Order: sequence, then C-alpha cells, then structure tokens
Amino acid sequence: MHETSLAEALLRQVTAVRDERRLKRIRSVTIQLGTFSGVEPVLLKTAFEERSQRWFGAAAELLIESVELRAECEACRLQFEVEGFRFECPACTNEHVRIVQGENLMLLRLSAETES
Amino acid sequence: MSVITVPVDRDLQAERRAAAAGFRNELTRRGILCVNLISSPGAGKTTLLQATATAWPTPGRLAVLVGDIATDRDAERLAPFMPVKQLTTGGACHLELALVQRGLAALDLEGIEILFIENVGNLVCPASHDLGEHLRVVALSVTEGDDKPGKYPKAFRTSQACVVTKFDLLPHVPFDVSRFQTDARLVQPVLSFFSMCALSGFGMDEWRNYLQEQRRILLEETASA
Repeated sequence: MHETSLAEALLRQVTAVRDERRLKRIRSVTIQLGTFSGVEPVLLKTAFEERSQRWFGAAAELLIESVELRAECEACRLQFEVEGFRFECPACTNEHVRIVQGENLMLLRLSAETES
Repeated sequence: MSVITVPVDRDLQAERRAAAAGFRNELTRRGILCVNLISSPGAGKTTLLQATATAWPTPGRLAVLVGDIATDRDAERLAPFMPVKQLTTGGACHLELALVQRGLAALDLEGIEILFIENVGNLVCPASHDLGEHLRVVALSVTEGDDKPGKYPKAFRTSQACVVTKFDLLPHVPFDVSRFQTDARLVQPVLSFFSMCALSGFGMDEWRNYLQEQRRILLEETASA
C-alpha cells in the first residue's frame, strides 16, 4: 500500500515540470510502469487522480503504459520475457539471469494546456 | 489556449536509488555490514535477532533499527541484547531510507560489525524499498506454508538469504522443505537457505558463520577498493 506515497511523489514531479515549462492545466500524465515494480496500477491510478483534483484544482488523468518483465541470461545472453516469475533461461535453462526491464517507474510525458 | 504534449522521460526511482547506494557506500566505508530482515508479521524476526546477539562471539558488535507501525515493543525486547532504535511508521507498511537514516543518528556505531534493520512485518512492500543494505534476508516460518515464494516473488527475488524459522514445528505442519526450496529457487536461484529454531539454537552456527563470512567479504572488498 505505498501507492499513495508514490502518487504524491509523481504529483511533485509533475508540478515541477509544470512550473518549469509554465504550463497551465494538466490534462493527463503518462507513466511507464514495470510489472515487477511492486506497484499496483489500479491503486496508483486512483490515488493519483483523486489527489490531482486537490493539487491542480482540476482532475488529471493518469495513463499507464505497462512494461513486461524481461531478463537476460548471463550464459547465452538471450533476452526473454519472464513468465510466472520463473527466472530461468528458456534456451539454455541457466538460472543466473539479470532483470533488464520491468522494475521501472518512469514519468514519460504530460499533456497540458498552455496560455498561447 | 492550446494543448501540448511535453516529453519528460524522468526515472522516478533514480533519486531513491542513488540515495540508497550512497548510504550503502558510507556503511561499507565504516566496515559495517547492513542486513535488511524482512518477513510477514510473526515469522520470528525479533526472536531470531535476540538469538543471533546471544550467539555472537564478541559482545557489543551488533545493533538494530526496528520498524513497526506502532508501539516500541520490539525495541523493548531487543534492548537487553544490543543497541536498538525503534522506528515507528505511523501506519506505513514498510521502512524507507529517510526513516532509517534518521533512526541511525540515535545509535552509536563505534565498533559495530553488523547493523540489522528489522523491517515492518510484510512480505510485499518492503521488497520494493532499498534501504542501503548489503544483504536482504527473508525469514519465513514453517507455519506460513511452503507455497510462499511463488506468491511473494519479489520478496524472494530481491533477497540473498532465506531463514526458515520455527523449524522445531516442522513435524506438526504440512511444510515440504524441498518443495519450498524448489519454489524459492525458481525466483532466486542463488538464495542461501538456513533452517532455524531460534529458541533452541538449532541452526544458529550456520547462520552466524554466514553473517561473519559476509562481513569478511565486505571488509576484503573495502580493503582492495
């Protein structure tokens, strides 16, 4: 249940960008969220959108682009999607694999109104 | 008025990651091995730490920061065994680095070999928070069931060691040790396992040796750096 603190961290970042770029109303915010980030997308979306009303005076939509969990085999270098949290190389069955994608939380872009 | 799209591409965890790495480096420099102990509530983290302190060859070398949502009961239990600072999160389900750093200011780390962080009892959220530890250890009691690694993959994936606690209760519960280890190794093949009954001391030698070995490796890395 740390989605609420993440939502506030995200709102702080969005506010910083809004002020830097002198934007007006924020309409939507797009993030990239890894499926192994430990963040529940529905909870984050709800927490963000509820708070955005209070932060910005008008609700902003949170759009989430989900990113699959991928790993790279340390032996044969194959990159593969990790399914069912089985961290094993599907080609050579080596178990020593490194996560290359799917743990991240990125603020990708904003859609906002400007004065001009 | 017009509507524009503003590309940002900012990694929201970069700052936290850098802060945790900085804290870890600071502890490394001081020769302190930091161990983040995570488990569900009631798995036996506090009892494990009491027994570890009792079994440590030199007194005064261990310290602990203990996280709970409320009360300082764990700090009271640990105080007779080692320097302790209670961290209360006021409802939050996990510890965060800032809280750990604030708590650490209250501890005298002179001569400390291992700093334990006993996390809030929870197998979910603590797995997503790097507290600057060198070692993450997940504890699981046999009464919780052997199916947990697959159900809480991140807790096991991000740990280097797993202590199976309350091992004396094994004859009374349907816990298949080999099924548990197979399940855990699917998510984390390099996990080191320890069977433990902290109340009787069963398994303590292996666990203590492991911790001592991990600290020796840390000191060697520091010396060669």
